Amino acid sequence: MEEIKFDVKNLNLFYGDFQALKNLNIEIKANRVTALIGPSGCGKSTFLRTLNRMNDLVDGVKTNGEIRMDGKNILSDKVNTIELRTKVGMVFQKPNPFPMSIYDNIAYGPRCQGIKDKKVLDELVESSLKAAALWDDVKDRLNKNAMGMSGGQQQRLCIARAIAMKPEVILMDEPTSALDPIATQKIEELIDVLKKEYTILIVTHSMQQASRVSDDTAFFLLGEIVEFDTTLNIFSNPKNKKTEEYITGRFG
Amino acid sequence: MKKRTVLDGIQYAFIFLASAISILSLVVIIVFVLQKGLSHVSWNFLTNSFKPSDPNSGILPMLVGTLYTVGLTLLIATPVAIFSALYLNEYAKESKITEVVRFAIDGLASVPSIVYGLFGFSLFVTILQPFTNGYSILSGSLTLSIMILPVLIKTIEETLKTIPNEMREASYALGASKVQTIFKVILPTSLNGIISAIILAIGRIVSESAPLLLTAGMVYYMPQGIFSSSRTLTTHLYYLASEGVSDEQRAQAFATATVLIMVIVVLNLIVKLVAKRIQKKVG
Ligand SMILES: Nc1ncnc2c1ncn2[C@@H]1O[C@H](COP(=O)(O)OP(=O)(O)OP(=O)(O)O)[C@@H](O)[C@H]1O
Ligand SMILES: [Mg+2]
Repeated sequence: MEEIKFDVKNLNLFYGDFQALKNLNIEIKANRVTALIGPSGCGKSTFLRTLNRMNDLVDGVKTNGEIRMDGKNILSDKVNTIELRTKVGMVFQKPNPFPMSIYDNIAYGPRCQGIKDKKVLDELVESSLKAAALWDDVKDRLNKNAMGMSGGQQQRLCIARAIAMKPEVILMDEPTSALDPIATQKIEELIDVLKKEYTILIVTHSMQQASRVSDDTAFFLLGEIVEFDTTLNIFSNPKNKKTEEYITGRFG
Repeated sequence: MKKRTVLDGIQYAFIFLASAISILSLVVIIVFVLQKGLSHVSWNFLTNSFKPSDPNSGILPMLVGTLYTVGLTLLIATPVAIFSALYLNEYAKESKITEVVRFAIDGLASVPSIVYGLFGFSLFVTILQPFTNGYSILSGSLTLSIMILPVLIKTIEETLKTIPNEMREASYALGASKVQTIFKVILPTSLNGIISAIILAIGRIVSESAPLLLTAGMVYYMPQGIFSSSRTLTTHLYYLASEGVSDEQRAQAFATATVLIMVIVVLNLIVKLVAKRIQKKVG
């Protein structure tokens, strides 16, 4: 039996009057990579952002239903969103390092949690950069501004920054859509390594990427989950006609 | 194609002309002032106190008064402006109230400075006299603070608006609180904009005379602190230029103007240096 990280039950989300997520039910398994695919505007990002409560920052969002993370409903008002976000990290579509040094970027999250010990921070920075396969590229310029890095390096920095929090889950919203093929390949290799330690959810518009990096795939359409299965099944033997049409590129 | 290049040509001619006029007038004014004033600026002029009919008289009290006024005004206005801008841009949801606040800020920004002077005179010099000692650097700085606040708030808010939302999201996604996000990301990122706003504010503080005449007074003795009445270089210049009939007084006026220009340049440099230091410190 595989461990379930997120158990989503009857999840609905409204932007004002517009319902963006419709009665979602899905079980995300721990230490696997789950890909979220589907045409633009179908609610992939919105769903991803419910898992670390980032939608709280958007005015006029209403959510109901349940998301149990390790059994605890994270949509409850009692949940400390700061603590939740230390457990559920996020990597965005556009690399968004802070305009500060590489070191300070990585140390940002731990410092916000009150870690001040230089030695602890040094170690965290090194291990996180190593985990993101970036250490060799930047170990000699940790004090240089992160804005001077290439796009691919910036995105790996953002992954390292998330890893420094020692999260349990990493959410990635189209993490390679702004990157060239080589940088993309590096990130995909990284995901493959990281899944041993983390539960990863990745939104992607690339069918190849979904099939390359993920173990499970959920197909979204107009705010609903049409099909959820192992990636192998989704791509070789889709049960729903819409899924088949989408993965073969006939719409979307 | 032809028509285009002609139009382009005309456009460039206008742009060139406009830039030339503004640069030229700046150069002419500065050269004019320096040429008439620089020869009179001596060590004695900078370090002597002022006596109305003494040819050896200097401007040290006014120089000190100017620095006091600029320093105190910035000390009062900058934090208030930063927190107001943060409130408007980071905390307040768009509503009728913020609309009214913004409308008020825009309105206040276009009130003539003499009106602020009158207001400052009635409030700080008269009503709050027990606290401000009447005509004083404190009364003047409080008045100027209120006067520069609207523009200061607006320019700082514009800077905050240019920070992409992704920056805030990146911070929250790392488990930072709102206060941490503001102090560790938003403020350091907008430092340059805040510095420009402060430099503009310095220019306005130094160039005002009317509100200061009404609130800080015209005393030409060395100020003994913020409760002293004092002249700034500008109010002194105003006095010299309006009362001065002798060649000697006119020369003093131009020399004062020269020092005034130098003070502005030096203050701007200091602010930029401080900004660089802060930037280095925060990363
Ligand atoms: N802040 C918001 N306010 C109102 N509606 C929103 C907001 N964010 C998203 N939506 C709407 O919710 C729906 C789902 O958006 P979402 O961004 O989750 O789609 P997506 O599947 O991630 O699309 P894409 O592939 O283009 O990133 C869309 O119709 C979108 O217009
Ligand atoms: Mg999206």
